[in-house]
Amino acid sequence: MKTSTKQPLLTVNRLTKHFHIKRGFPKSVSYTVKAVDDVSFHVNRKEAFGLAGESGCGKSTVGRCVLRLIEPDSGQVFLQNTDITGLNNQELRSIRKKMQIIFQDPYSSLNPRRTIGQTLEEPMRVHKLCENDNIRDIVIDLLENVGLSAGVIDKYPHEFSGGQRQRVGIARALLFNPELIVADEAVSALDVSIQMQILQLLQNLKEKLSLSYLFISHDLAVVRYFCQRVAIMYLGKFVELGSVSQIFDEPLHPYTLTLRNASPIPDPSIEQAFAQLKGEVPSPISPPQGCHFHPRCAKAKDICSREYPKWIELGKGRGVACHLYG
Amino acid sequence: MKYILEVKNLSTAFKLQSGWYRATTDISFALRQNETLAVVGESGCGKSVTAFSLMGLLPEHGSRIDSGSALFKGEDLLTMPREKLRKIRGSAMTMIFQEPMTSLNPVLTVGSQIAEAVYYHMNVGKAAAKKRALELMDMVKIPDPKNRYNDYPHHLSGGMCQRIMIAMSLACEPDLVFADEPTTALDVTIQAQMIYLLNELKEKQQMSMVFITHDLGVVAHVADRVAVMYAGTIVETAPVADLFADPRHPYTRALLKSIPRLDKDNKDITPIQGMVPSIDNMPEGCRFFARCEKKDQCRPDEFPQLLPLKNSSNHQVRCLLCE
Repeated sequence: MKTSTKQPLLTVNRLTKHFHIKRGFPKSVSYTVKAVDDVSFHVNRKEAFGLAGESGCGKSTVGRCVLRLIEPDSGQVFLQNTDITGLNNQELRSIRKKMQIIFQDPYSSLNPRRTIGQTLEEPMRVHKLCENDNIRDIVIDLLENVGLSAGVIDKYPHEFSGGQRQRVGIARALLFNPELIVADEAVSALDVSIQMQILQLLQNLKEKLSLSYLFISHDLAVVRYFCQRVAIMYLGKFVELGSVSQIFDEPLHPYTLTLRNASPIPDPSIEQAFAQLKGEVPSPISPPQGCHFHPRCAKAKDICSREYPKWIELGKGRGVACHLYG
Repeated sequence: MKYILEVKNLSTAFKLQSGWYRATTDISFALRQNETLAVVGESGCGKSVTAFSLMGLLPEHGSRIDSGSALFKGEDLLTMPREKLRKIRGSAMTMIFQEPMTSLNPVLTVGSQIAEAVYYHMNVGKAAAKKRALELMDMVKIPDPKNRYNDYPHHLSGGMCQRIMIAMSLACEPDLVFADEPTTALDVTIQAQMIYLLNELKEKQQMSMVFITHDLGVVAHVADRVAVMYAGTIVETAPVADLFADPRHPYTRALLKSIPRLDKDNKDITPIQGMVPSIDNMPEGCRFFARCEKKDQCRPDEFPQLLPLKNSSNHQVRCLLCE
């Protein structure tokens, strides 16, 4: 048994979530979308773990399954030693204090009819975290922690800019002194100059409050800046996992390489070969046989169209699912 | 060399409850043939308003053009009769919109939407228009155009819809295309394909392009010249290499320092503090003053002009401290 200091905060073990959808009228046919298929990873304490990939690859579903906002079909999610997939509602409610989420859209994730104060005070009342008289002071403290002034407590969400609203969203996630925060595209809706402000706020809070993040983003440059380790997803599966410098400086999986080469670097003196990229992400309803990426892959071999590659551990926490390294 | 588009001192105002406020002030730029000007800035800085003003697409009520002129091949777009503008728009001057899925008509087939533009502007029959539409779909690399012609927008992916939009805007061999965040709604791999396609088509058709975006990474790979906008004004304009190698305006410098890069470990990133001033509370003088690093050496009361640098007339900056 490992010592508790080395034990990861979050361990996700063979997580799977399939959605069943019906298409067609009048004779509808049922399809299965493998949104998350056999995904395993862990998040260490005080670490930001990134999940990156294109839209529809299942990264948000992983985030939601970890919090059980969506019920996973199979697999386990451990927060320290507790398997949260087996908890009943009451136990789940108390463990949710330790894990919170920041949503993507700061415009739609706050109730427009409630003041910021009302939004932030309610969960404290529900969980009876402190005396009712103290709640307002705690909320004001919290708002100052995320860079807002005490005066905003009686304002409504529409009175704020996007960046300020995201700060409120962060304050809400911090209410219970959580250990893990799932940040689902938390800075994607913000302008570049505000994006950096929010990322630095999250970084400072991580140091100050010993937080860990599961950071979901489609923006590889932001992931590289904010995270220590990252997993790249494609059609519900991890294709590669490793530290950010391993993944982005020496990508192994052809898809990681494709993603990296497609991300425009803000420097006109760097020539990027955009011409080499072919095709689109296939529909998750009918992913290609074998390796899901093989129709777009420049290095595809015969075996790639027949068998899905096994996950290969390469040491130093690095792994890849590709026949080229088998 | 003559300019395709020459915009001078364009100011556009919108009506809010408390009166008229300027969304853009004193916009001036010029565009040569086969040149791409990237207009870059944060949301609300007036990039799209500029394009909409020039295309005559501003809402009829609650908006007005306060001043300025915009010569498109020698004729002023802003004072032109509506009928004449309608003939130019969609043929000689077109626009690619941001959201491909919502900009297409959901109840018409994608092919017929392309053919419609050809039919109205090129004086051809329906059969010829269809033939031209199929050619265009092939040109923007839609696989199997004959079968895709009768598809509706919901049959196609976002990337394919954007190709349809591009085909539509190129239908009548325009001289000038406004592309308003054409890749923002797309995934990175599809975005890369679009950048490649637009660059290729620009060479082939010798057209000029105004490329509106907030993404400096995209700017670096599509633009010949760049205009950086902040709070309704152009603060700096320069050839793309100069702008990235030697940015002069404090906002441009701060912006370039605040974006993370994929090819670096980003140790030296510093965010811009503060917020963009709101439209009803614009400062009299320089609009970046409150957030500027060098504000101690500057004064807040004077509104700077967009002036060329002493040793490089191609590089213009709106800053009292830059020469």
